[in-house]
Amino acid sequence: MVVNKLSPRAGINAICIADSKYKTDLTTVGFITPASPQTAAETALLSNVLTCSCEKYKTMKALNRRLDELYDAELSADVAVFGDLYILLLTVSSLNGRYALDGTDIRKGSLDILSSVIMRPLFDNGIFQRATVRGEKKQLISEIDSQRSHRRSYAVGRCAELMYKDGIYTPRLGRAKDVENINAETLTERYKEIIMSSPVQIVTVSGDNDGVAEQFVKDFASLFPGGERPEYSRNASHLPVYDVETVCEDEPAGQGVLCIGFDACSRLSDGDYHIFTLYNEILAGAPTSKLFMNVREKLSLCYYCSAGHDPMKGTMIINAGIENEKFELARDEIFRQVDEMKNGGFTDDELNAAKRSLKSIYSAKSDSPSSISSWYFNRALCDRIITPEENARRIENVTRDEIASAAARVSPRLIYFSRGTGVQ
Amino acid sequence: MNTEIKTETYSATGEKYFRFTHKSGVTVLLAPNNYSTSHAIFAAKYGSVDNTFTLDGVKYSVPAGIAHFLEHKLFETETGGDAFELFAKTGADANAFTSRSVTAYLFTSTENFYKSLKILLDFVSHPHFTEASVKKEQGIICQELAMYEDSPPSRCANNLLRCLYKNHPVREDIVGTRESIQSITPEHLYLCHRAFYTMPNMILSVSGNVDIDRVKSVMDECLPSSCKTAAKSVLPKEPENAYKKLSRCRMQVANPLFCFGIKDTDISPDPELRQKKSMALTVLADMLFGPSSVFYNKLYADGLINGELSPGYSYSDSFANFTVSGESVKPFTVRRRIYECIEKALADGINEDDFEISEKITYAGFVRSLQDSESYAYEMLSSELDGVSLLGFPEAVKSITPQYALDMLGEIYKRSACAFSVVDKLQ
Repeated sequence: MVVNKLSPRAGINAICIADSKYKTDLTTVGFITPASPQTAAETALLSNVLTCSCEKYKTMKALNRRLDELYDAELSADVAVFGDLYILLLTVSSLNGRYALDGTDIRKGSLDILSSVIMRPLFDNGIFQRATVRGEKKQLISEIDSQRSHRRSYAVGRCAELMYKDGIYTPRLGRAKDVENINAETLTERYKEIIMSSPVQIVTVSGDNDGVAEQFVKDFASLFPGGERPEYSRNASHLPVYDVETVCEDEPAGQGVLCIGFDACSRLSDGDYHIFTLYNEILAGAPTSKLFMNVREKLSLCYYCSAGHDPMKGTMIINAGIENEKFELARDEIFRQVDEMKNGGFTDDELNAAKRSLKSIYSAKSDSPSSISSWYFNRALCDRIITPEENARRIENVTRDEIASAAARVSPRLIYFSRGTGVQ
Repeated sequence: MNTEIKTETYSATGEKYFRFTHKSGVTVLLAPNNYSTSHAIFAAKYGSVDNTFTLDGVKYSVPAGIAHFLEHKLFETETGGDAFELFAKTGADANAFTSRSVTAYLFTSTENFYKSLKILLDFVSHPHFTEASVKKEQGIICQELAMYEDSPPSRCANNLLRCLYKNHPVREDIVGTRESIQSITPEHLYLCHRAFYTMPNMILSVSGNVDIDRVKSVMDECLPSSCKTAAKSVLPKEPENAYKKLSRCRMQVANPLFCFGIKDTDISPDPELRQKKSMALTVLADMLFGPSSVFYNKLYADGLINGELSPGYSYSDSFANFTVSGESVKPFTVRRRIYECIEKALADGINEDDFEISEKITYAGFVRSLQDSESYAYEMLSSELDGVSLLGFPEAVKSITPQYALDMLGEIYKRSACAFSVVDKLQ
């Protein structure tokens, strides 16, 4: 695998990865903005509008047709909250050219579409088309409202929102009321602001190491207007300090979802984040983790019990789908396992199994273009670029004392229970 | 016993894999490649629909959801431990799944592949169940069922199957019901293992940086050489028409979800014909309802659908259906438009250029499905279950004409075979 880093212009950086084993090529362009609920709504809407059409392909049908001709190339837009940053991501993924049966230059065509939708959107009299903005606003509001029907992820998001308190938490898709207030003029302003001044991080992954990706990066960077792209903070703000609270909310569903939010005080921007990932693997990772073995296997309380963590904020949310009546039992068992970790209550076998599991996970990163792209993108944001293999080596050297010290920093902040009130 | 090794190839991309029958009776599919990870799946041709069967001349009926229950319980080892603990020592990441036609056990590893393979073959072929452990599992599986019941897309799709089918067990949830789960005993589990986990009914699919002789050697060591045939499933006769036309329920959704389906009861005993029909209808589904279709773009512009539609055709050797699902503020208007779209295609024909592009999309899906060792192993298994070669897929796609695809749609389409499932918003 070849990894090239480029900085074609101030504030525009790229990582180009090539390995002949890849059957698909993937290019992601990320715009890095500060997180706030208001601009999140605008940026999320922008991500949808940009992928509807462009100057060259004026309708969604024409754009999709061109993607189909390129062997079903996939153009996607997404947004992500990354600590105190809010990222707009535009990605094109396509078959590597060696799989074209008719000589189509798939990569050239796909990169042209990516560049077109970002740099030459479809405007009417200098602003986005009103009908498109109107239609996409409805779609986005519907998407925001739909989040509630995904029981587990909604409960985890709600727990995070309550943990972060007012003013800090940015919902990934923004708030519906902020989407309502957007019009074609304000959206165009937001677009221009992002293109003019947001730092840009590009990651390309290809089955060919032929310089095409590097040339694309240089050509693409030259399309941006000149001007300063301010440095962004690599360190997220800390959670406010408050006493542990319990919040229960009712949902019209059969199952309850218990979430316990912790401040783990370990962040990707720190030098020792890998110690926390090992802690997390022992506690909540593999099917031999302490939560799986005790909350699920020993007590039969749930089907899933695992933890998600925000690597920028340094938070961890343990979540489990349970019967309402088992709330206290499950909560107490989860805390018991978290406390055991603090007291060194894990065996050398468990530690070594977690090391092996993580080593395997890191080795697998390089097999998938999307996994390796995310790996480098996230680490570039924190300015901590290391290879997955290097990370695996660091994990290998972690000691019991280091894990105990990571465990000691983990403190509970919020117990959130989404109680099921029954189904119709 | 000499093992005849067949090499499956697709010269346009240089893909190849090996296929042979091990002396135990297990069918082996092995794709050597240079990914960092290797992946193995050991699967029984036994799924949630196989609840009534004959074994040694005796007919048995077992509770719904038992194939899935067995999948959970097989991880328990004879020493009272758990296969996950054994995999933890090799660093492999293990899992399992049950579908309507197959139960599969799998692992991904970056080292100790052969040790992990031994664990996999051992625990799947050596069942160990106790009253206490079965009872404990009932609580876990009931929570799994509750999780699926709270998922609107899952409810919508399952309700469609309950409308389409009157008798076929495909209409039952894979996990079963609370009552059926509670009624499962260790004796049921031993019976089903004896009935369906016979070696000739098993497939081992491996992809990665592995050596064929070492795989054979592990199999020699772990697997019994019995060639006992599996039980035979007894499936009821299914009428051509849909059992019910409509299902509606209410859940926490922002907009109603819908699933439209056509039941296809004309299932050929020839696997290649089944595959050809499936490919033709998959290409046509994309052409009529995919992101570039007139249908999709018109409904999206009119605000009638949110997000993407999911069109497709799924089949096994005992059931098949054509479906279109999505989210809409006016699901019944969408249903009317689906009828109109199909009937217009059957009356007026389809654009041949569009058909060619849809074939390209299908080919691209084939290449994408081989882009890592996990999906490679899974796709080899799927093709074997369908009775066809994975790498024969691109040539088979080329053999399909627009007229053949339309003929297939014409054969399965009649309004009496259609059903519609809607999940409405809560009031």
